[in-house]
Amino acid sequence: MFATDSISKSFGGLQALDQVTFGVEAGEIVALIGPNGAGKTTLFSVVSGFLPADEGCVTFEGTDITDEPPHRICSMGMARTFQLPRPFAALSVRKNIAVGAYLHLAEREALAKADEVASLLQLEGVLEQKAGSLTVVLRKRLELARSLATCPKMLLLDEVFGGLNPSEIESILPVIRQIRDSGVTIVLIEHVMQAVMQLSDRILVLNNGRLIATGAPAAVAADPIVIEAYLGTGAATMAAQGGEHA
Amino acid sequence: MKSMPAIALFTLLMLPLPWLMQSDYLLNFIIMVLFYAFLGQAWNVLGGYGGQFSFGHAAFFGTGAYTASILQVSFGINPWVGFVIAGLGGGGMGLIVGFLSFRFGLKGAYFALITLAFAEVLRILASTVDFTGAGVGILVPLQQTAANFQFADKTGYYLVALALVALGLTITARLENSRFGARLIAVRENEDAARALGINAFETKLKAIALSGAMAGLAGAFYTQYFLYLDPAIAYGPSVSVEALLVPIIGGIGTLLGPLLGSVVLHSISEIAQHLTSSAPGVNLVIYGAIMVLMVLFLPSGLWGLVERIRRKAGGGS
Amino acid sequence: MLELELFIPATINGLTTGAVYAVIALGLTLIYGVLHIINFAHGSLLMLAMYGVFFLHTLFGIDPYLAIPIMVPVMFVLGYGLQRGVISRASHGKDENVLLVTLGLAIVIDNLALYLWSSDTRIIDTPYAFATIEIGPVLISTPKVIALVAAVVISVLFWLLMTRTDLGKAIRAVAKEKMGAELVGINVNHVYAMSFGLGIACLGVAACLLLPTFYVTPQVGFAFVLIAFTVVVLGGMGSFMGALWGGLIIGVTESLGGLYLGESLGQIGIFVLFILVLLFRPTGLMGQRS
Repeated sequence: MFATDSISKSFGGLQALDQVTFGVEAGEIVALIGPNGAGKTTLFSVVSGFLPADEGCVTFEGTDITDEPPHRICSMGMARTFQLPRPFAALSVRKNIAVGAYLHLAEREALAKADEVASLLQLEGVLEQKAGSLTVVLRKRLELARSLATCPKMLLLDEVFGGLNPSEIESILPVIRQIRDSGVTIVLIEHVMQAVMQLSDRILVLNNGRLIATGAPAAVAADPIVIEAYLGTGAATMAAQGGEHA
Repeated sequence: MKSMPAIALFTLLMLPLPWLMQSDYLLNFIIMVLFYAFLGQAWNVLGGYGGQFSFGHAAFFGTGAYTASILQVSFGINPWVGFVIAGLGGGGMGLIVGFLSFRFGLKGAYFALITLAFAEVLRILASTVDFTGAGVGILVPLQQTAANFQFADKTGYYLVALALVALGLTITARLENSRFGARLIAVRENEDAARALGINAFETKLKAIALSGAMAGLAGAFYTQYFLYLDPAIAYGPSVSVEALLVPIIGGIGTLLGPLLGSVVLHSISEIAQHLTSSAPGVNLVIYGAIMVLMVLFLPSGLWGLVERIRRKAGGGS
Repeated sequence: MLELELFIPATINGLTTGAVYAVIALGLTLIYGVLHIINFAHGSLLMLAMYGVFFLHTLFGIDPYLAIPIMVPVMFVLGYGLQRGVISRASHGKDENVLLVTLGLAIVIDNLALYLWSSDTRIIDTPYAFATIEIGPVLISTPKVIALVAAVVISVLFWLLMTRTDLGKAIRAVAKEKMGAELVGINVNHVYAMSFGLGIACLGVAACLLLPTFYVTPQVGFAFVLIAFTVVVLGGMGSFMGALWGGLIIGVTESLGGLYLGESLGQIGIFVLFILVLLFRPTGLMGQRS
């Protein structure tokens, strides 16, 4: 349903993305991982229309969306969240989510949808609070709720588990699965391996702007190229020689 | 939507004022308060709810004023019709300024500067070009009939001013509760996040400036009918632009009642100051400017913000 | 159309006026470059300085050029105080608030001047006001030549200050990387206030250069602030060289505009240029950041 073909993007001398090509099937949960600075958020920005690609193209449900602006891409069904949450501080949580719902719904239905999404993400308690006063954890949930309210066919989640403690992670995991089960395809940028391994059908690994591995979670975790990307050259050999603890 | 009955009630209560009031002077004062409140409401749409601070709202006000006066003086068109067209004129100028500014991504101080520049360009053009009367301005002939939108007794003007403020309140209330308003505020709060949620930020801002410009245009037309004289400094000069922003900022930016509150407070202070200094020039604005500086330093949410704070404390905190 | 007899004096005239514009813009550029604020009160403070020079001459007989050593420290202290006392407290985290505070200050200053000194046009009479200097085939008014020379001197002094002194280094450090500067022990608040003070001190000089050939009313503040912004935006926000070139270009544009389009319409050239630059090249001709 979604594919990129040879996406490249550079900033001055820095090659942020280098011929990135991959596809996502409808209904999948795909994790995009890689060391810091690998280009993951840049990829999201290019794909969602915030940054123009230097080369390559992006297709969504058969349409070329490479040069489309962000709001059109969202209205076509692909929504993204931001790594650092960006709440509409002066609006209440409910109205924040409603802003997302307004994409396809009129006033009253949008508010109803907002309530619905809020309860899915356990935000009922803070519905009337100003979004600016929320804790970081709740802001992340609001970020997800807003994008969900746009009734997307595909969600790009940028570090939705970042900064959460293990119990918070455990409580969001089933929500993500529920979202997928309701028919939404999900691509997530994640550093929290617990979430990545438990959720994803497939993992894509980005390093220095290049896609260095893709496959099922177990295979990717054992892939020496991936290990080296995270731990440095020779680490894979050391891991193989050293046994369980590296 | 609970605001609508309140607005209707307010309008009804205010309606009989001229007949209860003996003083012509006081009636004129109230008309001016309402007029500036409406102008402030216009600015508030773009500046308060849209978050785009215009320092040149005179561009829209003046366009409305000149439209209204030229249509009746040079083309003999009925002033009530001219009034509506003036609104369209103000809105049209809003679209022009907005299209250029937003297309090129101007925000914050740059946007403020460019609106200032547009107002100045229009002022210079108006003082050079013949059909605006150049520097001499336009004098609207006295013909005091209701059909001609001139009233010998101020009551007529009062009713129109009240209607405009009621209109402003209604528009603002709709902004607070509608889809468009929520999107406008979202763009103001965080433009990128809004775009990521499917909002066309450019279009949204353009609509806001058109609405704001149209309202300012109507205010300009009202001014023409009330004072029957217009020149480039009055129409496009900085004093209108300054008043347009002072009133909502001091009253409470981005709030329903801010502009009205701001207008009442500022002009009351002004009247007192005029009496104390026997109408010395500049006193008003010194006070207004000082209030604005103090307000930004200590009370950025304006007088209405203060009212809300007191209400919250009185209600036991929430 | 391009009669050299009219064109050359107009251009040279424009250059001399432009030099003073450059001095005004230098201050604004410093303030923007370091504090990243758009000082709407710049024109009003210039107007205040001009009244200062006026009264020094009328009440104490002090020649405007000799008033420079008085005006510069006075304006510097005023600027320092305004930044430290008022402007720095305004932001509350939102840039718009600083915008509004400087606008508010401009309104207060402009109208205080109106109240105190009325809108009468004030000019001063100096013995050299109508003297001229011959440069080749052209006669240029002496005060304007002095203005041009002084502007160049000020710019050089400015450059020396920025590159050779500790203060200059501290200012540049804060402008580039505020947090890093703080970490190495630079008192950022003090540097901000110093920068603002220096920016306003420039206005003291500009006022002394302007008054021999110009007039002052409470309204000139507004006129100058727009010109100053046009210069800064044209030259590139934050670029000193840009402020210099921008000043000269605007001066010439204004002069030639006045020549070909008449006094009032000629002004339009500046604002149209301003709008065009804002739209198409907000980083200006030489600017580093937008």
